[in-house]
Amino acid sequence: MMENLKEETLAVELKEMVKGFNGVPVLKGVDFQLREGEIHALMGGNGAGKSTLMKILQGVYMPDGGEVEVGGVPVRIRSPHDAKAHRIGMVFQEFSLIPTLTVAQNIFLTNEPRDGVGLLNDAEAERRARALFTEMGVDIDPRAEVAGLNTGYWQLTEIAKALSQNARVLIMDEPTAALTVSETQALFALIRSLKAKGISIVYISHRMEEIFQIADRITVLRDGQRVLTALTAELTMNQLVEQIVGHKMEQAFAWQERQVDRSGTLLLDVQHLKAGPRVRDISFQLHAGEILGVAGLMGSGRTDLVRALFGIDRIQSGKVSVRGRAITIRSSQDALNGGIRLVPKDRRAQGLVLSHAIKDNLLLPLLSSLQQNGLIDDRKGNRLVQSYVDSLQIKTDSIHKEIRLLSGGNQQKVVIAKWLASNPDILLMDDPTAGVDIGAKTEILDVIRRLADEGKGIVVISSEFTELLAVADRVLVIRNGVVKLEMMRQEIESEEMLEQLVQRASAREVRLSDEQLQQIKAMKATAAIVMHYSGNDWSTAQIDGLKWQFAKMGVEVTAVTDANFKPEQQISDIETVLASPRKPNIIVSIPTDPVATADTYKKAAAQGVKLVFMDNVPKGLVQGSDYVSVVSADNYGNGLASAHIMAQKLGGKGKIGIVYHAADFFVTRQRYDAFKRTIQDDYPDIQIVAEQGINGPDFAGAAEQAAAAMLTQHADLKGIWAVWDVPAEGVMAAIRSAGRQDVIVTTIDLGKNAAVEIAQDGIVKGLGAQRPFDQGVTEAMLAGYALLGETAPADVVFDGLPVTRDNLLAAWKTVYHQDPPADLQAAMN
Amino acid sequence: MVSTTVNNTSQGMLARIRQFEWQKSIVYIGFLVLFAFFSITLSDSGFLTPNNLLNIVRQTAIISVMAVAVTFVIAAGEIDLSVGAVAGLASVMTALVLAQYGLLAGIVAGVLTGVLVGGANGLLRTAVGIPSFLVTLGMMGIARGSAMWITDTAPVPILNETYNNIFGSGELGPVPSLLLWMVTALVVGYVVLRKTAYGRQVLATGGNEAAARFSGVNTRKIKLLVLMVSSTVAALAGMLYAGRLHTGRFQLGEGDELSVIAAVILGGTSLSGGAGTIVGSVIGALMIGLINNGLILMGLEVSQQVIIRGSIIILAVALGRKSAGS
Repeated sequence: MMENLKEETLAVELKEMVKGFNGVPVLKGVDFQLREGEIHALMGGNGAGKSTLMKILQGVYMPDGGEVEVGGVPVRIRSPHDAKAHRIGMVFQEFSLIPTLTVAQNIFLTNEPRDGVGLLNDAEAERRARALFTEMGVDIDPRAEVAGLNTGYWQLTEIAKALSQNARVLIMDEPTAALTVSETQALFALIRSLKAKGISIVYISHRMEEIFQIADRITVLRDGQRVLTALTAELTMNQLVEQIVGHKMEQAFAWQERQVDRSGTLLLDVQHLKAGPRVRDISFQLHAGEILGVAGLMGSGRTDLVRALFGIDRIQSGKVSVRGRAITIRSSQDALNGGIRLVPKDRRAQGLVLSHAIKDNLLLPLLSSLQQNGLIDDRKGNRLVQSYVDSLQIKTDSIHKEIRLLSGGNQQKVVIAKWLASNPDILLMDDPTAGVDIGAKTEILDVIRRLADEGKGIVVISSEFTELLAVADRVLVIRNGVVKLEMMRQEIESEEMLEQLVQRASAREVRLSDEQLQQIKAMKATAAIVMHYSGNDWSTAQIDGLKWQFAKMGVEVTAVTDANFKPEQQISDIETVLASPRKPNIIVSIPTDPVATADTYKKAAAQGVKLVFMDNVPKGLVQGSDYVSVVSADNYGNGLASAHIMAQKLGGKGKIGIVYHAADFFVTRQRYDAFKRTIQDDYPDIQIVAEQGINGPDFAGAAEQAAAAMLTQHADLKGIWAVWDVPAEGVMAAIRSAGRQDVIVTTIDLGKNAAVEIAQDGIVKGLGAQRPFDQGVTEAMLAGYALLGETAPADVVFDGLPVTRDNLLAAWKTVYHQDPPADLQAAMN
Repeated sequence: MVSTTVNNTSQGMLARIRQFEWQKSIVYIGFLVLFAFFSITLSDSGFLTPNNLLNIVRQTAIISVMAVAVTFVIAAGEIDLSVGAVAGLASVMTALVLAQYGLLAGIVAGVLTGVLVGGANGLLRTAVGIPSFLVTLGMMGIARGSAMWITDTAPVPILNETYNNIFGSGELGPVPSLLLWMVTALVVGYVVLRKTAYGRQVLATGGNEAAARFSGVNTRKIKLLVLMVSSTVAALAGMLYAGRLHTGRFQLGEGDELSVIAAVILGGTSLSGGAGTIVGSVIGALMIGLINNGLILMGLEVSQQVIIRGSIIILAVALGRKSAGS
């Protein structure tokens, strides 16, 4: 009996809740019980009464009937302030932050830390906010103004705000709507730790997968009544969906393969688009009748891409063609004239005039075409609106109803209809199903499919991979402003696979505990390091880092190979390693050629070898099943850094030459693209007058010849960029023998010769450095994850590091984990 | 979470320069540019003499004091058009009561005038729900009319030396008392807006009223208070006028509401609420004073002065806007 009582301790009990608005009953006697320390999902379609029920608990509405008990005591909650006093906190679906205040100021609003004389102490607020964020595992600057943050961060700030108020009961309304997958997982970890502290959580969400991951119990409301409360473990997803919609559903999110004729009309052709800080280099094509899905994390540039294409953000460079004709997009008007329409991310703020009627919203872009003799043809307008209301199944009793009274799904349909009436070729949709219920979602997906069937080209961005995979014919994965991958839908086997492709983790997150180290040591594993090339300090440091960490893990390195950039050599290296009597458990490698070597790596994977890659992954290998992870340096970022240093040292003007790597090698290609584009876009007075590709095996020698030719042809050359430090040495030699010491060089990779040259303020003025030692350490740790059977992040990235004489010695320590050698220190003086 | 790529030396420096929100500082830059411009072009006309500079301060001190209070009103998303009229009414109330009942009573009467008018403004705004633009537009007429009525439109002289010295005419050493009032208003306003819960709640109310309410901010109380304080400070400004001119007069402060609002907006406070800067408002007021003074010294016609003043205000506000589209 006692035991039973204890289990039934309720944090909150709502009894027989009744509430109506203007005579329309919304809650018809709902019971809801929240146990202490449970995560209770509250589900139901739009209009089911979830939000109303929770707003009663939050003190926003007073119930017409029923009782509220908190901790077994009947209470009346008349205001949000009362709710707070009862330690009930809420994370709002519609954001409740003050955009003009900073993150920390918002978190502690009405609750501000004070100093000795009672004045607000913003520094303390920032410190506490930072601590909260650290606890939550997120990285937000407490001093940032909220208006300047992406909406995903708003949500996290709201959660921090609720936490700062020591809530015992936390109501979360669609908390993950704007979060990425990894942020969602971080949030779930946080929710579980709150649960462990005895905090009760009401979790409102439309996302089934999440509910099954996180909730202990589920209550379903339908039409203002409770239809189900049950333990999550006792329910299947199909049962739950049935309870929510009230009838059986077919497989709504199943992908229906569609025929797209890619030989036909090329509707949209985007080449090397660059816009703002987030869109760095994006190219893609869109055919008539095709649905192109864009997957990427928040901040990856996905929203910025469609904004740029719709003329909202300025396009800095690149080519956009519609139906084969190049167009210039400087404003939304240009995009509209080009037949491009955007269904924006925030339909309330950017897509609709909320206080206006459906009709007025829908006809807004069409007013001029409806005019006759200067007057608007009202009847024609009404007919048109009605036809869209019917064909898109917009649920409303009248086309004169205010938009804000419609559910999210129906609002979204109006936004789509608004553009359809002008019969566009190309529709860009930014998260079109965000915040709408499951029924409306399937309808919107159907609308998208239908539009494509009618021959329109559609670009869909979605943070919900289920939906993206339900409609897309082709998927573009964007990461950090560049297209990381393009795949046909058929090639994507599961949502998890897409998730992995989109993710990228920071190196700081990779860690092994002492206990894990002991476990790995006990395995007595072996590893082979299969390099593409090992003739520079970068490779040496990378190998050093790997060996250092492997030693810590008790993993013996049985082989280190060098392919000198030859794929056939690398293939035989792998085969040799695999055939050796001491076949390694682990291979850490960088593929020389992602296509040619792929099969051999697959063979290794099939034999159970754990593969960890540096910088690049062989084509067709699947993370998780074929390989563990890839650890990359930000080659693009380093290309950028070397360009800015060059420009700075030249005072922003002059003629320069480029020595690049003449091979389709991802790493060097990224550096080259970044350098060249930065110079071209940012420094109009710097002209690239010569470009010369080089090939191995003698990169320094080839570079010397290339540079010598440039110097002869261009007597007024001021600078030369070399793709990495070894070619840079060749370039230096050419400059010296031509007696042209005024010509400067920037490059990438902190090699010792380049470093000494920088130290002496010689020809090399600066470079972008990778962190090969740390990269090696991380790769080894990820191999450890695989040995332990732990899930490893798919893609770990190191930031680039610009190096000039000013930070040379410190940078050396960062890169090599050693004091700078004596001769380098001497060269500084 | 995703971190950005390259983040120090050259690239970081460029980014920092690009990100510097110079728009926010436009009033300070504008002030300095104008000051430098006048210093050079008007060096022969005595612009830089201490006397002229003190003149500018005296001429703008009263607007500055009002601008400090109105900054709170505008930051809370409201407006107060009645400040000029309240100043006029308070000047005559003070003068009348002071003549009858002495110094202290006069001061109390003046301040009370502001409290009552502001209370009425605030209640009409919050309890009845009339937009503050309309409430204070109406109140402007009521206050001005009342001042005309009780004085029969005649000026009321103030012969109390103490009063005149404290309010506007006197000096503390070389420092005019008006300057002290201005600095006091600046410091108090700055601390209250930046460093107290009240100030933070004012900004929250103007930034997103619904969110502020859900966070437990009593937004009605905030609106009532900003309007009350605004009127009270306007009354104080009227008393400063009276002290400076040794007279209460119903016309005092006429048209000041527009100068005050211009100073506040020029200073960088958002007309839509949510953001405000006290220092900016005072500099805004000083800048308007500077323009007035400089244009006069340049020997321009009044019509030309008015046009140029208007143009400078539009230009400054235009430069201060964040780039469109964001």
